[in-house]
Formats: sequence, structure tokens, C-alpha cells
Amino acid sequence: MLADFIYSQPTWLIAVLVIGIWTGLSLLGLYVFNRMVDVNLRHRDTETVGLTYNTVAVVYAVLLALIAVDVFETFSRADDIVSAESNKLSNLMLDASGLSPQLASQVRSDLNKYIDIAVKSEWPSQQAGKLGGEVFMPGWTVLAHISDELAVFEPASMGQNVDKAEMMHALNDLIKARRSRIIAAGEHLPSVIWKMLLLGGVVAVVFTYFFGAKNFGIHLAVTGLIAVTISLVFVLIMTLDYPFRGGVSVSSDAFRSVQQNAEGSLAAEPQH
Amino acid sequence: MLNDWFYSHKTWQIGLLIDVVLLLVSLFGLRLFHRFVAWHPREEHNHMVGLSYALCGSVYAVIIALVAGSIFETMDKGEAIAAEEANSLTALIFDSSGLGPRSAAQVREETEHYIDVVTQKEWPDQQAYKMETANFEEGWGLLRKISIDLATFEPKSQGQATVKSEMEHDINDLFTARRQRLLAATRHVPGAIWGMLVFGLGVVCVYVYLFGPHSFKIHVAVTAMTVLSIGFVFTLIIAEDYPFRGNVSVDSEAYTDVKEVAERVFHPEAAPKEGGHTSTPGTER
Repeated sequence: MLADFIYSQPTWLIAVLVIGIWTGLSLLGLYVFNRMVDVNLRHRDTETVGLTYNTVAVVYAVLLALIAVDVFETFSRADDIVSAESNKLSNLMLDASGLSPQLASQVRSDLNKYIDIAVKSEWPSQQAGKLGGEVFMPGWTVLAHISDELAVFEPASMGQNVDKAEMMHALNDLIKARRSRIIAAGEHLPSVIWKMLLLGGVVAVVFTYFFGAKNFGIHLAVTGLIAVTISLVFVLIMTLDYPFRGGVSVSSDAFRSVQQNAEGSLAAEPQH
Repeated sequence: MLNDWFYSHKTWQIGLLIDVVLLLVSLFGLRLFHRFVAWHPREEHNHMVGLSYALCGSVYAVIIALVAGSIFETMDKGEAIAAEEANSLTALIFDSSGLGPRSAAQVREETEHYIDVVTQKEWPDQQAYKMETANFEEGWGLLRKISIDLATFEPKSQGQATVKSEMEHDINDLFTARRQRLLAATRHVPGAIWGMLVFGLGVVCVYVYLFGPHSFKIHVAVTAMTVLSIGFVFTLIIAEDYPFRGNVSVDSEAYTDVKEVAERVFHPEAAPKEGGHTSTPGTER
């Protein structure tokens, strides 16, 4: 539900909301804390608080950075998966030339149908987070059809047999890439990690309340800056999480370019 | 014993227990420390303690965060292995069309039976960490049968020979992925590393005790928050450790998807009606 809201809004709006709410709550907490705990009591021990804050801050900072990097890597991996899937589609389109003309044309037509399904039906569903089995069934059915055509195809020559073997291999790789894409489309940071990040963030912010700054403005600035820094990383993680959702997501351009390249190659192919 | 408790309870319960125990032990230690070590000398050397604590605290902080990060990667690898196994199963089912109707039906039936064994027997065993060899023998037996059936299949044409060759490749990949899954299911943070992490936490606590703040309440607060933040990371490590065990673990969705696709494509009359599929939208990494 929350994910649906987040990924249906522009990134800047999510950034403003997350940074605004996190920082606002942090400063409100500081205001309440300041009224309840005497500043003179804290002032004498500011040095101790500052020195012990080091460990908490480093644990949290390194963990937050590692998770942000991991989410970024997952996003890059999703890009690679789409690239691998489109490469295999391209290989199949080109290799089909080695089959009998009738089968080659049938396989190419099925591959084009598959690309249309992926781009026009699966991609919008992935972006909307609708990942039920029904969404992907038409694509699977087309792949099963191609697989069936290839498997029962009886080669008339050694050359066709080699081509058949290569295409079966490419098709299996395409299936692998497709499943990886479907899995990647639903991948996201586990809720347990989000909870730990939020709790760790609360501890990192509340720790700053124990500083005993004589000037409340400075205290507000320090706490506010820490809260903004943490929430900025939260925004980064949210934006890159779910690699196929939201404004920043993996596009289907690679699939379209396969169709365009195939059309160009077929035009250049000598007619039998 | 402790492991069994951890992985049979919800993450928030584990987190609560860890943080409460760590808080009680560390604050009890602080109280004892205050009673036996005079405040004045500590207050005088506050700065020196603080500067040296920076090194000790940072080393510990980086190590614990890196361990948490590596656990997270192990979970990713567990998911990749399950996807690889599911891919090999799909390839076997799809490629079988080239063997002829009878052999194809047999391979599909055996493969679907294997998926049932994995999702209905092996997955619950993995989640409960019942990793005895006997629990996985049925799955191995089914794979061996498919492998032998394929190996003894006599192709009647060049086309069938190509299909056989591709399927032997698929079944070998399936064996590899299965073996990797069973190995990954037992992978966890070694006891020695846990020992170091707990010992390191003890050192961090003693270091915090050495500070000499004027207010005991401030001392209690900084000790509690330091221990709490480390407790959160301990919880995270426990929750994500053993990638196939407990509530936060790799699920079997990839396998059920393979079966669903096979049923829809090859036995449309037996497939569940629209909306009847059970796959969940999205997986936690």
C-alpha cells in the first residue's frame, strides 16, 4: 500500500515528504526533550556524549551506506538482466535464418509477439507492482510455443541441426533471463531491514539530544543536519529499490531495439 | 537450542529479547563499575579515554556493519541459487516436447513431482533446519530417475539427439543448483565470528564505563543507546543468517511458478482458473 503510493509519485515529492517528515519529527523531539531535560545537566557531559556517539554513528553510517550500495547494485543487476534477455531475443531472431523458411518466419513472428507482450503488457504491470502469475502467463505461453516448435523440428541437414542446438540453448538462456527479470521485478529491501534502519536512525538522532548546547539554535542545526543526511539516504534507497517501479526504473528500450535491429538484418538478408 | 528458538519466533520478538538482555546486562555492569571504580580519576581522563575509544569503537562498528552486509549478500545468493534451479526445471519441461509424446509426458510428470517434493517437503524442512540427509533423499532419487531416463533414451532422429543433448545439459545444471541450495541452506555466521562480535561488544561496554560524566543518568543513557544500536544490528544478522531458515528466508515461489506455467501450458484443462494462482507479488531480497 505504502509502496504503491511511493512509486506512483514523482521522486522530488517523495524526497520532500521523507526529508520533511523525518527532520520535522527529529526537531520536534529535540524541542520536547529540551523542555524536559535540564540543559545544564547535559552541558557538563557534552564531551562524554560526543565521544561515545562515535561508535553508534559509525555502526549506523556504515550499515546505511552498505545497504544503499547493495540496492544500487541490485538496480544495475536488473539492467543487466534486461540486457541479457534482449541479447538472447536478438540471437534467436538471427539464428532463425538457419531453420526452414516456414519455421524461421513462425519463430520470428512468435518472438515479435513475445516482445510486444513484454513491452506493452508486462512492463506497465511491473511498474505498477502487479506481479501476479496472470500477468506473465501470455509471455510464458509464447515461449513454450517457440520451445515446442524448436524441439519437434526435424533438421534436414547437419547445418540445421547445429542451428537447432544453438537455438535451444539460446531459448533456455532467454527463459533464465526472463525468470530473473520477473524475480527482480518483485525484489525489494526486506521489511526487517527497513525496521532496523528506522530504529537505528531514531537512536542516531535521539543521541544528539543529549548534547548540552547553550545555544538552542546550534542544537537545532546539528540535529536537523543529521536528520536531513539520514533521510536523504532513505530517499536514495526508496528510489532505487524495486528496480522496475517508479520514475527511476529499468526501461524496455532494449527490447524495442531488438525488433528494430531484426527488421534491419532481415532486409539485408539474401532472399532464398 | 538457542538457534531453534531464534528461528521459530518472529523477528520483533528476537529483537526485543536481544535488546532487553543486552540492556539489562550492560546497565547492571555499569552500576557495578560505578560502585567499584572511583568517579574522579575517570572524569580527569575523560578526554584520553574518548580519543582512544574512537579507534576501538570505529573498528568494532565497521566490522559489525560489514558482517551484516555480508549476510545480506548471502541471502541474495540463496535467492539466485533457487532461481537457477527453477530455470533448469523450466528448461527440462519445455525441452521435453522434442522427445516424443510418451517420453515428454513422463519427464514432465517426474519434474512436477520433484517440484512438489521440493516445495511441500524440503522447504518446510529447510525452514525448520531439519537438514538430515534422509529428508532430501526423495528429491535426489527423483532427479536420478529423470537423469537415468534421459541417459537411456534412444533418439530416433538427429533432431531428438539434439534435444537429448540439451536436456542432459539442463539436468546437470539442475543437479548443481540443487547441491548448491542444500549447501547454502546450512551456511551461517561461524561461531568464532559470533564470539568475536560478543567479545567486542563487551570491550565497547567497558570503554563506555570508563567515561566519567558528571551525571549518572547521562552515563546510563549513552550506554543504553550504544548497546541498543548494536543490538539492532545483532537482530538484523540473526534474522538474515541461514538464508533458507526461519521467517525471513528465501521462499519457494520460483518453483511454484514453474509448476503453474507447466500446468497452464501443457495441461490447460487441469490448470487453476483465473485468479486462482498462489504466487505472491514480490519477494524480499
